[in-house]
Amino acid sequence: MNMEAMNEVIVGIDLGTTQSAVGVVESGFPILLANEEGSRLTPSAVWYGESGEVEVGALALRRQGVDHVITSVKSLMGRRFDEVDESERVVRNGEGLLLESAAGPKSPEEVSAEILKKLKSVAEMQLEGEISKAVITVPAYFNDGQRAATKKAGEMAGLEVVRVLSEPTAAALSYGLDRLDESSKVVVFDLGGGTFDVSVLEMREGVFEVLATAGDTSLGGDDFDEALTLFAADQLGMRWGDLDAMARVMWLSEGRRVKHVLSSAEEATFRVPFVGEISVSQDRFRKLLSDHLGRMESCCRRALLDARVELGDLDSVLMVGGSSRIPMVRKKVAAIFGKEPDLSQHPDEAIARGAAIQAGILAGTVREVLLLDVTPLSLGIETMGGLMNILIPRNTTIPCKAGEMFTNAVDFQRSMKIQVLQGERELAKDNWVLGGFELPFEASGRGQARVGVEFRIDADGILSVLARDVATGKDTVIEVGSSAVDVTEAKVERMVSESVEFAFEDMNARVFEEARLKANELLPAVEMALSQVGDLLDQSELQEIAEARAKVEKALLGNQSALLKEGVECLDRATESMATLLIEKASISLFSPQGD
Amino acid sequence: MKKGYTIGNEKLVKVLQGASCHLLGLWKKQGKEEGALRIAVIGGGCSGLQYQMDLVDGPRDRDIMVESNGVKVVIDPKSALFVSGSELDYSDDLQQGGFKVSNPNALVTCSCGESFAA
Repeated sequence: MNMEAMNEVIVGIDLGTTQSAVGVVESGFPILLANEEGSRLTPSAVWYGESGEVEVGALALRRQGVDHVITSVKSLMGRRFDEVDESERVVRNGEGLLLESAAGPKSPEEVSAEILKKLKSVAEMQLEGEISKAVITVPAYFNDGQRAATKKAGEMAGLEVVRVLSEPTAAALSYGLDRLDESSKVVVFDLGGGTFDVSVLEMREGVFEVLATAGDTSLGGDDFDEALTLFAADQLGMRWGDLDAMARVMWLSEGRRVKHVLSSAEEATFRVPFVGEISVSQDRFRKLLSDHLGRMESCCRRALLDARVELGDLDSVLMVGGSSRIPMVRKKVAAIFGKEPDLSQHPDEAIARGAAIQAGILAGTVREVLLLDVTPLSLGIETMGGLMNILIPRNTTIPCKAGEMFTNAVDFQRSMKIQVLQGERELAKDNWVLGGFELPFEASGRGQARVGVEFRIDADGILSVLARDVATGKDTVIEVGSSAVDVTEAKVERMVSESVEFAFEDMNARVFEEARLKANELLPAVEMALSQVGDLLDQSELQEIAEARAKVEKALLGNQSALLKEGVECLDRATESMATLLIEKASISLFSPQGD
Repeated sequence: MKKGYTIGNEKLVKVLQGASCHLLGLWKKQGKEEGALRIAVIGGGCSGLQYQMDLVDGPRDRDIMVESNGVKVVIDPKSALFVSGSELDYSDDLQQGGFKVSNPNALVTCSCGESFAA
């Protein structure tokens, strides 16, 4: 594979608290890459051996209970020692902190870098090439220090972090919500394994802005497992405090299994070999969760309040994170927001997919798929007679380009005015002027100059206009900005409805103007021809020409395009034989030795 | 003429069998079987108005969409005024091959078939 091309691949990474994933855009679609175990999700767990060996993911998790395995390192990223609970296995390092490990103290960045290295190697294995750039997601509430720590972790893993993307934005991208209208408001509800985040986003100028975010860094699926497990332990007559680490891991994993079963069944049985079993009903589960659900609700209310968004203004509620599978959580969300949540994306994978989409946009691979923006109105330049000459019609998908050749209308013209217009009307004056410039060229006879004009709209919607004097090859380029694509809905509406309302009048005006230009070109030409070769024509021909001339001159005074057009065509026909004579005369003089 | 698109019928535009076969084949080749054909009429050209055809993903706001012979055609409202009653055909002729629009509203049709006058 071409290494140069591979370097341009940017992967999207969801560096999660409990699990992480890496994705990329392939043939326009975001896909997640599976690790050696065949799983698209890699547990965010790192184990260090005494002699420095490192295991990441499921391999590391397997050692839990036997050895110290670092999990949830994300919650320590960019934190100061004073901010962290004493229960964490951390040691002070100046202001910051280090995690204990068998291989000595490690910074949270170092541990995160191990996870990122693992994801990088998954991507390199799957894509068969070196990966050096990534987009990494972080919670919306992450402060600058936490974002910088995430970036540093990326660098330590050999990845240039081209963007730190906020998780709710990534979720919205994966739901394809970047195609929403301006000022659409969306709630992203993200209940993962260890953390809960709820964000209110608003679409502004094509990008999502986080209006407010709230959450609980210790609320998630793991708490539900624990609540279930503690309940079961209690019912089975076990004291949690008496259980050793290994046993706890086993009990908790049974708790998780029961939780999963309860996502689709009314009842599940909590079984612990040699201890006993107990049945847990949906109702019991709800009671166990009621505290958590209450905390969740108050976060949601706070986010809405902070964002100053009314429930009625919400366009969509998205749910991501593994725990959004729990029916009770879904019901709660529907009740809080008064709206059925959108669950169409894979809850564990949505953020990584969104990261992959963002990476794809940055790498340029999804431009056409994602930024399926169109020109809301036609774009063109003003031509002779004040007409609109469309170069890029309305509804053209961007990026795009189009060009046309123009010439001078008057003898000895020294420059041409390029007026960039936007709109649907046939006459330039009814359209909007986006910009313009004067293009100088060598003075020449009418129709001699050759000026190529090209409009180009890039993926960001920026219109640039290039005008080239073909004779000298000299280019003049102006950038018009994003006004070609950024037009308010109301303005588009007004322009389109006016263009329909005046469609026939406009078209009539255009046809008349075009015919008038043609007539004004034709009449003096006929005059000139008559003086040169008029004596060679017979009487009936002269008569026909005179009649056609009169017709055109009369039509020019009126405003009926059809009459004028007809007159011009008559004159064109009537002067055909004269034109032939003229050409013959011209070629004779051209080839005669005396010249003219 | 609010947001979204409206559905029109074959009175607006009709896609004849030949054009349909060719278009559907084209889309299949491009792997875009959900595509649509945009027909626009814009001012200019040798007889005053000219057609512009484009393969697109689907209708946009304010468009009128007509499904004819399995082909989705999308037209913006202004163009619709001038397209109304047209038929789209395809010919394999070496000389004048390609898509052709015949328009009952056209008073004058230019010889290249690309433009007309209403």
